[in-house]
Amino acid sequence: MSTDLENKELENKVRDIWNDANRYQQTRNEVRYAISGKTREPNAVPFYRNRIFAIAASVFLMIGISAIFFLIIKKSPSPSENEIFTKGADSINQLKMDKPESKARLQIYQKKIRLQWKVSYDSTSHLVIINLTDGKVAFKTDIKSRQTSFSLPPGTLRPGEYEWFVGNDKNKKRLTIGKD
Amino acid sequence: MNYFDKLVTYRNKQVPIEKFSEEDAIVGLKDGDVKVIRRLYNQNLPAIYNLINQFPGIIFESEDLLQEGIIRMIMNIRDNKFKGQSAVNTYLYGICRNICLKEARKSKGISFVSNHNDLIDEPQDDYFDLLQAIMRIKDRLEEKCIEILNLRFHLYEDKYTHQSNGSTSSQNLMPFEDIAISLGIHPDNARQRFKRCLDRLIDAVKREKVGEHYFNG
Repeated sequence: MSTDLENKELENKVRDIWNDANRYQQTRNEVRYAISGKTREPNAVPFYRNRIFAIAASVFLMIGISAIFFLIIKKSPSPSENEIFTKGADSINQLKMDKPESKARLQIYQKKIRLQWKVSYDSTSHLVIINLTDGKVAFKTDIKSRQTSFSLPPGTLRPGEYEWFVGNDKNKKRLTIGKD
Repeated sequence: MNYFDKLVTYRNKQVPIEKFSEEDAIVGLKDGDVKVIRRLYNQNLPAIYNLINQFPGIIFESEDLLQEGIIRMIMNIRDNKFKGQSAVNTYLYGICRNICLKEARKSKGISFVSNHNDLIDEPQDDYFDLLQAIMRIKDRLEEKCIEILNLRFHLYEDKYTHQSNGSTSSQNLMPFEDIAISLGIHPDNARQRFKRCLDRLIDAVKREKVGEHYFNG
């Protein structure tokens, strides 16, 4: 009988605390709503630790960004690699065209070499690049009718002297790829 | 009539705060008036910011500390534990100061000279620590336990209203027969389940080492 009463008393105490905890939760939601205009979930960590976590997160973020920049710089092509194309562009600009001079020109992009010509062929033709070192064909591809440009994928040509032409070699142009 | 008509200095900027009376503040807080809570928050933030600076050994966010202080103050007002013998702002400051002092004691060696010796309405901050512990425990308890505890303690029926007494002690515990009907189980099973969940809750509170005396005395 005595144990039953004790249990009842304990239950009543726990009930009051349990219900007060619920009221506390509701009051917290009210205050948060009033202050911020929205209810927030309770912090998983004590509120005074927020500043510590913010500082730690900032440090990690800075380290992360530094690491990303380091990797990007390391992966990006070296100046000497870019120089290959720059030299190519300079040398092309200085080239003298065989007749007619305005029929062909070359544009250099970062890593691609874009060849352009003004003559449009009604039938299928060929773009041919000759390596002047050994006189062999370094690159050859079919050109569709009315096609007036072609982009060489990066790394197609090794450093050296080349001549290129479309159709026959009467109108050809020189191309220099510099060494590293 | 006592008005809060101070200018707030916060981050070297003076912001005028709208006036409202002590009575308005107390009634507004009791009713959960958003405007009153917001004004009280804005008005006291600079003071709490300065208060925290007096405790170099602990790291508090002034916003969070003030929010916690307001929660405790509202609950005390609703439970009629606030007698109105000190100003609302003074009372709120006292609650926040007590939280800081308690934290400082934990980290040891921090002294604080109070200039609020006239604080009459001392809040029961250890009881709020217990409530926070209950909330943490509740997050870890099984859904079935929470359900049966809520039923037994009439929480589902006791939807919170801003009652003047704020107490639930007059309520009876829900009989296990009724709980059994609600859950579709046998009353004996309901009794056993409740007992098991109650024991888990009490054990968890003891492990948290917060407010154990509330269960004993």
